[in-house]
Amino acid sequence: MVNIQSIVHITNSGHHAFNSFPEYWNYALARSSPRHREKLKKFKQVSDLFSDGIAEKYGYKKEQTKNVSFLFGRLSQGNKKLEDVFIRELVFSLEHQVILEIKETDYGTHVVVTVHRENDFEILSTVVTKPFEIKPQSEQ
Amino acid sequence: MVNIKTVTIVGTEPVAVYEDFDSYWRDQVARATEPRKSKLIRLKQHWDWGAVCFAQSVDLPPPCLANVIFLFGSPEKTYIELNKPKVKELLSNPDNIVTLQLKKTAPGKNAIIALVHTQEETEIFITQIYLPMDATELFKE
Repeated sequence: MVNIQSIVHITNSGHHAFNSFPEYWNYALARSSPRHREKLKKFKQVSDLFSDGIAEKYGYKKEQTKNVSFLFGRLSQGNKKLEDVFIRELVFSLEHQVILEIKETDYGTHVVVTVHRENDFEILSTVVTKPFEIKPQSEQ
Repeated sequence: MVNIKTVTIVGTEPVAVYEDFDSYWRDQVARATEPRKSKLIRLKQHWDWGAVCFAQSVDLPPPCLANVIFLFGSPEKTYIELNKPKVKELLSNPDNIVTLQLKKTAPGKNAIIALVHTQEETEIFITQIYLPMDATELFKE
């Protein structure tokens, strides 16, 4: 699993911080309408297949690549970015701590990924509209 | 007040995340023993006063820039940054959300990564600094 240590999720109405990916994902599912929840579940299934495919393509263990698609928002973008060996080594090293900040705005969703190595860090930044477009039930 | 929301301390396993600046600061003070505890309290008073002065110098109401010095690590760096109109605008707008990641990058050297989330975009400030002695104490366990 990509070593996602913390996810900060910001919306116009507030913010939440999570110490693990499963914690964040449960929150995302809980705040979604039943219809949107199904979409998220399907996306997760596709995302898991994508992660496995990336592991096979580049010779990583499956646990190293799990959840990688959440760093780049769109699978196509992830696929393109991961062609770069520097990016792969950055995000798949289990020693690197990954912090994800997700900001939902009226204009789209901005994802900022900070990968911390032992003594320095790299910032990857991306703007996506899906799959992070998670609207609470009341807004559906 | 600079709208600092989360503060994340990186390098520990797991990382420590605080949901706002005050809870981060309270925890730092609560965990500190003397004489560090007194140093932290004095440092905060010093920085609070500095923020009031900076706000006046850039024509903002005094509370607007509370905690701003923490973002840049020193009053000197803060002064330089706040004289940039864009930085002043970004930090004084209470609708903008600031998140901090604190990381020790080398002995005595700390990185403060401040992300300012506006409605339209995210601005990234990175401060790589050798902090003065008192401030360095902040990052010690």
